Amino acid sequence: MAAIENAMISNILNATTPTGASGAPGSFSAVGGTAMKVRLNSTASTASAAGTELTGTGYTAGGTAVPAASTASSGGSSVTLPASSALSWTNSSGGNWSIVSMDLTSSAGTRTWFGNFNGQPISVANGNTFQIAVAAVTIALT
Amino acid sequence: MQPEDEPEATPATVRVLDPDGNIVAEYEGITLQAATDIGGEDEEESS
Repeated sequence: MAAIENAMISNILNATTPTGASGAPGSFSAVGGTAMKVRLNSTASTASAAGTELTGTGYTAGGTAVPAASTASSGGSSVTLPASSALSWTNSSGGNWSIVSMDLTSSAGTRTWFGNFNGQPISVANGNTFQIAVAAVTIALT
Repeated sequence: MQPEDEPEATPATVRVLDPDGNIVAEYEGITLQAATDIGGEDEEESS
């Protein structure tokens, strides 16, 4: 199952196929912005839409920025995140969180990749912490 | 006698921790993969 958001699929395809002038490669629209973010959802994301974003104290709308640059892909290797330190959210909402999926987005919220967590829905009781360890998310084209 | 320079200290997992830092639940990390039918390798599918 594809894990790339639809606009990003087209972006990649157009930049690597003869969709530009006179059959040249099309241009790639850079995602841009500052540090990318991990957004958590209580429902599954799809290629066309993000899932329902988590809410409540302990979670900041839009997601949390990654702590550092991931090692760049080379020779077709995958990219992992987060780099250098785990991402953590402590539930202080007063109720349970039910976490199903995540989206990787630009700092402005443009979605790029998405996927469901293993074991979803993951229940996080009030007072508990949901943590994505270093390199727990792997992103690959093949 | 291999040098221990691989940064393997942190397991690639997704966890739920209690307020004392104890693990309540732990799951394998996830792979976001563009396609599973390209390249011929059978990767674990997680989403």
